[in-house]
Amino acid sequence: MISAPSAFTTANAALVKQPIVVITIAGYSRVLTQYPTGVTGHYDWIESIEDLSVNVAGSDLDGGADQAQLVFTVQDHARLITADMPGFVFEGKQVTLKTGFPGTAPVPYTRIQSTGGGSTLKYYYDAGVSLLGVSYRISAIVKNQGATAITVATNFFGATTVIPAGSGFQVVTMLVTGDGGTDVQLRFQTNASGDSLDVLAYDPVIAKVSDGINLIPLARRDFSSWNTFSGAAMTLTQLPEDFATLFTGAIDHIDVANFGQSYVFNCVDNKELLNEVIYQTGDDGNPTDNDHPHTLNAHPLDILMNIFTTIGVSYDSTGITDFRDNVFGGLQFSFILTTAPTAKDFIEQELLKPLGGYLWTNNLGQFRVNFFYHMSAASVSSLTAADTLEVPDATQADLVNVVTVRFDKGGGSVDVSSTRDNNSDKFMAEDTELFQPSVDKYGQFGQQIIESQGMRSSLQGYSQAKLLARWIFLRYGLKTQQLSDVGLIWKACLLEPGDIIDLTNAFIPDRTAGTVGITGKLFEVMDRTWDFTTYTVKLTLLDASFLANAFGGGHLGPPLIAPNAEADYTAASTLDKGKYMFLCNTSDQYSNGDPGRGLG
Amino acid sequence: MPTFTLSSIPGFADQPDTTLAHDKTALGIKLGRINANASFGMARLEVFGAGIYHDGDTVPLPVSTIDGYVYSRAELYYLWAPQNTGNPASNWVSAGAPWTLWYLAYKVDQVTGLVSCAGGYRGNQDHKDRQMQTQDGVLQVWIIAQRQRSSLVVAGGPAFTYHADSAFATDKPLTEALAQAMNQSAKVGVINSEVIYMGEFAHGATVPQPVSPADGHTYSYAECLFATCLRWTMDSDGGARPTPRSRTSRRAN
Repeated sequence: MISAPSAFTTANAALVKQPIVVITIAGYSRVLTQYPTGVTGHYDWIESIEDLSVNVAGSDLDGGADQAQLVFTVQDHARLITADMPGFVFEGKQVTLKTGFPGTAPVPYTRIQSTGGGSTLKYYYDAGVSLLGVSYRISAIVKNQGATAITVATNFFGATTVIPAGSGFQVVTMLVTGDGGTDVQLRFQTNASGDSLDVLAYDPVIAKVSDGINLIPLARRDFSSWNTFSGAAMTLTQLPEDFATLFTGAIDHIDVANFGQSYVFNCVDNKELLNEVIYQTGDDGNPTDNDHPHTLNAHPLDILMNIFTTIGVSYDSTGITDFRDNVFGGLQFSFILTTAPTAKDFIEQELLKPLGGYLWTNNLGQFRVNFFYHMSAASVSSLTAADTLEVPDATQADLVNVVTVRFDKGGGSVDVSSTRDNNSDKFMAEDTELFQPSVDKYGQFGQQIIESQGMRSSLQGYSQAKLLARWIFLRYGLKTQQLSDVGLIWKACLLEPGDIIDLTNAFIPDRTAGTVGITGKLFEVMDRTWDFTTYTVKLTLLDASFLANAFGGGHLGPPLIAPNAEADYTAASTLDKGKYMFLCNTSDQYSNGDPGRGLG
Repeated sequence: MPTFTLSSIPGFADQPDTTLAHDKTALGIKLGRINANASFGMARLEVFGAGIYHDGDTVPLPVSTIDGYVYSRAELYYLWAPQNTGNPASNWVSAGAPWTLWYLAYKVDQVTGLVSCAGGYRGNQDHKDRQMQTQDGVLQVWIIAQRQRSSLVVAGGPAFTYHADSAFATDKPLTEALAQAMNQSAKVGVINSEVIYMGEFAHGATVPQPVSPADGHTYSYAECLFATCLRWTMDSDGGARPTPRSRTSRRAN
């Protein structure tokens, strides 16, 4: 699930809301929105944003995901974007799309607190002596979360704005005319000298109306190192924005639309970078080919991270490392490559497909791997009929109850006169697994063939093949219930492929139970589409209720390895009996007759 | 013949102990890896033989009778001994009187499995100018097969710990110490016995201490047994193969 600030989550829980989208282009002075945020440098010129989707269903078995481009259309307001083009190259620049709501901060902000002081004036910035007859605009976006009203002021008489306690963010703008003697300032004041100040603020501006140039230096726009007055003790806390990041990518190209009145920005995620050809050099330094193979002998997930590092792309190392060290602890693949592959093909086909994983790009533009194996059955979100736009269609996923894994490439009795084992395209080992309960019901169906150059029978290839088949059967082995393109309110915008959610809906038929209505049923998020016109979300959900059984009903969690001092089962505490793994007898019982717990 | 068979080919995984620390999830996958390592340790090193081969033969890839695993060429070493120094077709010398056996040269290429045999003859005292090269020789070849012979990686130098069966009785907790000891002991079973090809040596040379390709362990001589094969009849103390010379070349010398 996409992480988001609490202010965003709170605002997103409301049924009635107006999502704001902010698109930032790295190095470009204009931030584009479809809503007037009031923030300096934000321009509400976005006309439309096309639906943005990531599709996993059907691609996961091939180790990857289909991800669409971010496409948005921007009005060339007063031809200003055109005017920017000679001085700024858009193509290749990083693009970030964030979303939030009115009343939440679209940029990082500062909490300004004061105690004590002998005056109502607590904190201010002084831009120097005003010029005679020159108009100045003094502004900030401020939220008063203190117990008493505060005043945002200049030091020109009458140019003040009172903000009551408990207000939301509001734009405060004051205009003054310089007199050639008074300093132009932006001030934070309390009503009484003994009051404390507690405000959230961003985007402070002191500028001549004529040129709009902010006289507050960039380094001071976070309110740091401003002036305190009359002994007030100030505390500043810098806080991140309240918006959630939905997309990070790069501009691929810009089209024109609306008879030249608009520009269409086409943005790609970083998967394009994986088109790079890797392992171009054999072990002996010559170009990789039949006579100059490139060998690899390492953990497949270490190979994966090494590729990411070599190419120089960002990836979510935490999740990959966790799987490397636990579920796939000690696994080793051994490749003898006689041709240089593209990174994408190699990663998806040779590293992730045999592990039951798929590659996709997350909201931060990082490569991420989801595995069929789930470390936890914990639901990240509870959805009900109130969150859906219509009754979801309960369909079925494609059935797979036969899995064949081929490995040991060129490792056997091929060309015995050869000095190498790599001069054959044959796979010398093959393991075919049937999901018998499914085969008994439906017959053999949907055979998946996975060919791995790196898996070796002498490196637990057979074990991995059987595990992989098991994971695929749990996912697709029994005509798994699939809810396709479930329309949901924007509340669901933070869900990602691989997330486990629980769904309650009285109108969805449950074919397993033979009844209508499901309650708290676990599903895995597969496909996701953001609709930026209606601000709704479409999800394809795959039944994952097997997880509830795999993890002891979804609340106990799998047993853990015990500390060395742990007592035998009958002497262990009730807590430890439920927490740790104990050995049981051949009847799956402990000595006191309690049922034995299975391994995770 | 092995006294056991395995229904599935086991393999090795260098599962780190940290995976088995307390409060880590007790996954069946983790114990499965230990089990597979233990099985792999029983099957990793196999000796096949002895086959009879002569010059030009290639020793075929063996198939494990334990689990049907087909070995790759890179997993094999060969030991040999002469079964017969004669012509493979006749089992007698290719050259009759007045020839006498001069030298032998045998080899099974450790990389390709190609068998090479050579036998040289020369005349007796009364026919000193006669020399004859042949491919005489029949070898008995033993195959030393080690799965993942040089690509196995074991980190950290695992140690064996004895556990009585009572440690695995009903109600016993699966503790970190127990799980890690099983993990390490299974790995020890994999690399406890290794066969390492050391090369060709002549009189006076010292075979260096072998180093395990799996974990870098340098074996002491006390931990080693050396097996030798007849390579060739030496021409001199330098270990060079004897070279039949023509009369011209002999004069030139």
